[in-house]
Amino acid sequence: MQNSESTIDNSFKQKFDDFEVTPPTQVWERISDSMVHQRKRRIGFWIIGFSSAASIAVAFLIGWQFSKTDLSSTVQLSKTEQLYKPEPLINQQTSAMVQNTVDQVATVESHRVAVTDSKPIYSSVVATSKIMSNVAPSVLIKSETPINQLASIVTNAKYSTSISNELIIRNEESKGVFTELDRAIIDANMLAMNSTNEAENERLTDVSWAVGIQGSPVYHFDQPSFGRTYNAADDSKLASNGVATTYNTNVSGGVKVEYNTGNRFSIQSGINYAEVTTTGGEVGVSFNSRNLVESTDKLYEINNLGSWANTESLSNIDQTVLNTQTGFANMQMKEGATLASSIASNSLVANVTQNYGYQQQAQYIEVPMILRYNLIEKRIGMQLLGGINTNVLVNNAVLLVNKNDVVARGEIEGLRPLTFSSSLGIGVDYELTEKIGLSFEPTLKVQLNSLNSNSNFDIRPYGFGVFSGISYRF
Amino acid sequence: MDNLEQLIEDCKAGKRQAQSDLYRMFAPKLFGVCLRYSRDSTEAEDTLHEGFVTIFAKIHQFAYKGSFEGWLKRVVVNIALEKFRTRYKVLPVEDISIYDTRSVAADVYADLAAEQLLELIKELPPRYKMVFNLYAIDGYNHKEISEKMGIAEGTSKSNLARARKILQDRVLELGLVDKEKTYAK
Repeated sequence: MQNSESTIDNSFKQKFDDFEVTPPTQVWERISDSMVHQRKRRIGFWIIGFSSAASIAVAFLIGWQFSKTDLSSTVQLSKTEQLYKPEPLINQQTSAMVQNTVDQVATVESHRVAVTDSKPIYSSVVATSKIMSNVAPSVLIKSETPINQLASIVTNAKYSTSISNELIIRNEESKGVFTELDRAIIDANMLAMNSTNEAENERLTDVSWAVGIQGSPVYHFDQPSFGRTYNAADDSKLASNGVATTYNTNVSGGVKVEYNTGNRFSIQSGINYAEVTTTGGEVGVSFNSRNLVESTDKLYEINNLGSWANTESLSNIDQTVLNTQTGFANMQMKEGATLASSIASNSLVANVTQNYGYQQQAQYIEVPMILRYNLIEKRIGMQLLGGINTNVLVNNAVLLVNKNDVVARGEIEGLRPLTFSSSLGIGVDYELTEKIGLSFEPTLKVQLNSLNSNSNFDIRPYGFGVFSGISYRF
Repeated sequence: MDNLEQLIEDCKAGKRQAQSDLYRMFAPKLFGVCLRYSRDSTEAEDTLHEGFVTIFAKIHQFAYKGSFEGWLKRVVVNIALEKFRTRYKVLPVEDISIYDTRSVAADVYADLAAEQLLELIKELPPRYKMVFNLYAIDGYNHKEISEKMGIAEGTSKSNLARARKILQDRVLELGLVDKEKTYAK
């Protein structure tokens, strides 16, 4: 018996060893198309990668530019300070220049009203000009810089405290130059500037936490270069035993926790609910109802009751699989029902085929890890945000529904339990109070890996939403 | 470097002409494999299509260990099995002890054309067809089949025996063999 079986197997094997059949010519055309499609997908992937990298680079560039602005102010100050570098007092020729300088002081004071916004700093300039009465002629020539420019330079300087300190030193060196009134002005300015700098430093180095809630409707649309690649030859199957789907308007939202590092950056995480739901066209369902009824009204009645007299089992298991745009949907049909080869031309026909609507839900728990960069830190603030979201699939459901009658339940085969998406967005917040703020964040989420592990269904939708919420800072 | 090796290297480099040449060289053979594993020619074309897309995507993994044709066949068979797993649910298998006793002499299959045998194979229930192809024609053992199809080794053996029996019955039903070549067990 064993030998007989081996001989049978060998007979088949020998027959098929050199068995060849020339495939139809269109197969190679389809393969070529697929190769081109794959190249486009790779290009699309690189574009997304570069775009993400560029966005992050731009964010850091802007941050660096801000830092650079501060640095340049410091450099300007250094140059300004050089103007006041004391040099040994010299000969009598200086006396004439000293007189000029005294005249300049008068000029400075005459401008005092014009630059009231920079009053504290400006007073320092007055003091500086007075100091100049003791410095060398070369320095005095530089001191002829228009006073409004000088005031501007000093006003822009965040580190004017250092100047003032130097002024004090020079003040000590030039005892007898300042009047009591000058000293009082200088002391008041020192106090004001120190308190301002302390407040500034406190704001920049203030490490804080915030918790809040946010949510948004989310609009999904397919990324170009990705999607269903189940080939065109199967379109006939799609039409006869499948369904085309469109994304619904989905919702997303949850709680967030934000840690502000105090240097313009903050890190956000939390837990969100997210979903990708679709609705399809009609799917034909036939009922093996030879011994049921012929009346369409009664069929409705039976449908609604969910009662099935026919116990004939499904003869073709393939008919329980729907070919959808997001994957193969495995359906558990009601007893006596099977997917029809086509949708019914009418809602009810004599052979008891009926059309059902297709509904699909993929629900996720999303854990984001978002980095924010504060562009504007005022009552109305603005941030750039970007990061990665980890999505855990918690529900995968498919229904065929006609009114209240659910004829089949199932799920999409191969949906990944874990997927990742990136977030890019702009955050705008408004401080209602010192602790409570509102936020509005237009955000684009880009699915990084396919929702379906089946290579025929490379589903990577974009999701766009304007997330709004409220947060409490502490 | 022989012509085939050069062709493989050109395909690894992504040269389209080389891919076209490789397709022309091996497509008929692989389409024959696809036909054995598929329900119909349309599905076989799909399998061939996906098989070659996979082959071109993964050809850089071919390290010249074993025959290239064998590697191509394995890729195509894996695609066919993936499609099978996607489309079909596992059905319970009958006990092989219920088989009847009439059988066909093994050598009669040698008298049949490959096309006739192909038709017989295609008529087998899906899983029997897969197991018979894998074991009898493509040389996989039951352990490998159980791993690839996610079934027990015993199930694989049962399916194979059932497939053989159905093939014998069909040969008799269709009158493809003389009655002298039948015998009782």
